[in-house]
Amino acid sequence: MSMDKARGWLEQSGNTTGMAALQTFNIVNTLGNMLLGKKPETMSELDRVGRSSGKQLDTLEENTNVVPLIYGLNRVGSTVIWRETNEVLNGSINNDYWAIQVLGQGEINSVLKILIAGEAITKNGDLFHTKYTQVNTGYHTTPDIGIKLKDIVFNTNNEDLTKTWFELVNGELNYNIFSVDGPDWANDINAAAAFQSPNETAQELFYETDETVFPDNFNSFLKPPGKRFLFEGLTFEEIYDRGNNLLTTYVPTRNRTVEPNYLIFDFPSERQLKKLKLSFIGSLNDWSYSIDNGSSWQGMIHNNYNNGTVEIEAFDTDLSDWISVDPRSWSMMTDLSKSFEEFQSCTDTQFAFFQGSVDISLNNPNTYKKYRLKVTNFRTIYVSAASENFFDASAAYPTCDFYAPCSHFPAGNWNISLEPHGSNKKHKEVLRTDWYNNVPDNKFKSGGFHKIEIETDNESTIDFPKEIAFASVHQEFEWNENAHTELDKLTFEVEGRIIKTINSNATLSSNKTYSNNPAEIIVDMIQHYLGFDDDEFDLEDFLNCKNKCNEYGFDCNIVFQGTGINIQSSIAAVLQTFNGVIFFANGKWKLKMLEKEKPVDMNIDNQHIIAGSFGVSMPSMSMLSNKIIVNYINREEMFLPASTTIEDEQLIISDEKEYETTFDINGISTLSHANKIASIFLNSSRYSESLDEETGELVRRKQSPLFISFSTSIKYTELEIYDIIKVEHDLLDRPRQFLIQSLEHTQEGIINITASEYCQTHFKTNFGEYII
Amino acid sequence: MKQISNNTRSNHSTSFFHLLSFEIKDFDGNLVDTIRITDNDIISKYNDEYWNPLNTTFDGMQNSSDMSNSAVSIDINNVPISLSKVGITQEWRNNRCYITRIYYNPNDTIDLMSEGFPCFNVDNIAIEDKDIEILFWGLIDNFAASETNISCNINSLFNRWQNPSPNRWFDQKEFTTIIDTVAQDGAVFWGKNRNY
Repeated sequence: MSMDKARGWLEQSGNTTGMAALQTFNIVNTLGNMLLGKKPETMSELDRVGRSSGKQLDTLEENTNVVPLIYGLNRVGSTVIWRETNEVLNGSINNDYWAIQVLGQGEINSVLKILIAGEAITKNGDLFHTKYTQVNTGYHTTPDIGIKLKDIVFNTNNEDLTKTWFELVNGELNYNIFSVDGPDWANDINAAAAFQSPNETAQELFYETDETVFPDNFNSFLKPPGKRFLFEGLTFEEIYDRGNNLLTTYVPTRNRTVEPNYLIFDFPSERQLKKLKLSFIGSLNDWSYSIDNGSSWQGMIHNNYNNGTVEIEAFDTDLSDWISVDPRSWSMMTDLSKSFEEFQSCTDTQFAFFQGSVDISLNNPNTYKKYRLKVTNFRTIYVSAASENFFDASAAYPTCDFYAPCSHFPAGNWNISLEPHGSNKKHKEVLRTDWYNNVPDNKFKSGGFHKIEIETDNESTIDFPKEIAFASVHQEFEWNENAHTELDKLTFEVEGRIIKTINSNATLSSNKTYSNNPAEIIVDMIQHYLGFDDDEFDLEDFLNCKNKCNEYGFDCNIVFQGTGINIQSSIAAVLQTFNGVIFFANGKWKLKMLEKEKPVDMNIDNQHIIAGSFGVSMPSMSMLSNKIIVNYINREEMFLPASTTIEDEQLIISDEKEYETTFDINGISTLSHANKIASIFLNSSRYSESLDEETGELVRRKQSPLFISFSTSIKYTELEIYDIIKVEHDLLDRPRQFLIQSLEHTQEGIINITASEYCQTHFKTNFGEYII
Repeated sequence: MKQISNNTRSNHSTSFFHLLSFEIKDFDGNLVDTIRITDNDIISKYNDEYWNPLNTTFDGMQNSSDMSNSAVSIDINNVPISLSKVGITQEWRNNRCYITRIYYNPNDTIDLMSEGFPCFNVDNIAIEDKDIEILFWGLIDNFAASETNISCNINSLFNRWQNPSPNRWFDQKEFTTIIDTVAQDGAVFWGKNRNY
């Protein structure tokens, strides 16, 4: 009997209310509609939900999109909401690109991977990086105001800037020295004097370091470039290796610099030196040798230069080489009237650094290693050849984080001017240069003058919207190598929104945590969109669905990004992943799902069915399927669209034609999950069951499930959607179980019920094994 | 199964009536009153609130598995003009409406004068002799009044589910000052001279 015929028959029988209920169903809940004999071709809303995957992985620079809503494990693109490059002067090149790229609404749990052209890039803590691209991920949940641009952290090198570490990579020195504010040595002489006179020698210091700190695997650590080291330490801190193992503590750091021939640190006192557990090792033997021969530098630090300015020179190419110390007067370093003048004009083998301003004279930089300059909280405005004197004494010892050295040092005089950070900080800056391994003559050669000026940005107070998950991206165009000439497009593998979880049948969690359980996602969506309170959910039902989803292997990983979608469709897309339904009854939201082995809730027989109200129907063949295709997003294949097909050959033969139905269920992300849903779809639309007289077991019958409608009295007012009723009626060949699809209560106390047949075999394979 | 008691329906012949509650807000969205009406024959009291008996009819209240938006039409006749005026001076629409069904045993002796005037006091009925169920919970969609009649349509909560999802757009005000930066052609000179 066709559905239309059934309707006609039912209408003739006088039961119009129940069929009216059937006819007024919206086309949303796919399985529910199949159970009602409706084919899901008209799921336009759901189609739009399902077709967002292309845009989902793109880097968008449009403002015509929605801010995505991310649940569960997904790969997503981003939308650029702010970007900028360095401004230029005199035709110089913009090296650096800065961008804020929004991933989604609210707080997401984590970014697991960032991929460029399908390849995951290196992850180091919260920083993801390649040689030319660095990405920091974050989120903001301040309820009232958004985050300010100046407070967004950009990372501009490949390493974790919150730790101090050293590493030699392919012959190139990489390091980071994490600095915290310390005494203002320039302006607070008492603070400087607070460091006691040293009573140990530098030799002892390094012996101690050698014995106690250096790891066994020296090669994994810094191999010193065989240069001089100048220490100026104002603070204590820790040094870690790249494995994040603590290697040392109390490293005095503040201002430090490297020139091609030596690395310079400054430290103020023996006390810090004693605890200096430096790892300039790699070429440990060089150091050991030199230390043994340390008379040339022993004592140069402390007694004579009581603030501990040290300069060490070493050569790493020949073990017979030596480490020498070229001590400088700390007083000169701290006496602004003298030291500035002195160090402002550095010569070939000198490299002066003080108070955030650096002037370097390089005569022939191309013969030397080039270094990296790390500047925290400042932004390089321009780099150009210039002959001005950029020294600004008033900026002496600003309380800034300035990591030096170094950078690409083209020939000339470099000046780095810094201004205090704090509320004005904007960027961390990296200038990269080549690194030459051979330094033939330890001399700089002549060149022109170049200038780097670093200053704050007056746009730094831009407010970014509240409650967005974003990445702060820095990309670098390596103009010297003509490398990285095209911006990387990033995709992010993320664990989506943190949400309230269902801990019991009475309460939701007070704290939000990550979950991709569909029941918990539904709660979050209803609260997010409609603002219902915790106590307006029937948590017993929700908890049951949560547990069943876990038992059946159903989860939901989905991104809502398309336009033209409404809340109903979005929630329906989640319901699809576990055959769920949601409705509002007795003042609470209730969540139900198709469950196997669900017991009968009520028995209803002829006596309790209002006479003349009972009707039964089957859908027309054109509305049924013998082949189900489920399109989903396969997280095991780079989160790309995938498809699975479940077909019943026996049905195809008997139908003499393939009847194909396709579902787009983006919330499904594994093949096994998709197969389960497809199989249940197919079984539920085509099979009934009955008791096998020989075996006494329920067996599948090749009969489409029945739909019934009837009216009953308020005696059954406890019934609700997705309850199982066992109906015994003269019109039925046997007592059958039905799943309630709709209920209508009239003012007179009549309850009109429509229901679809419920069979245990819907959840089993042809071989009788449970699918879920 | 709903979690409601089956006291009356399992043991007794059952009678029932309905309580209709309309939340009324001022034009600033503040709750100012709740209109309470019952299709019972006399004033009814429940939860210490009184429901006024009026000739009230309403459609069947539907609940289905497909999240469809069902609507209920309510007609209230023989209303005093003062009540009709409430609909003009306050805002009914988009406020919540509840229809609660009270089941009771008609064979029980109920003191209808416990309040000093004819009143069906649900609170006085022993808990084992009554069942209470919220049958419908919706939002008032439209409202019309005459001198003696009020009619309104109540949408189920699914009506609000037609709103867009997701609900934040990059062109909304919260992003405007930032997006402008992106929108400006030539704002980004990455990898090239500015004067190109």
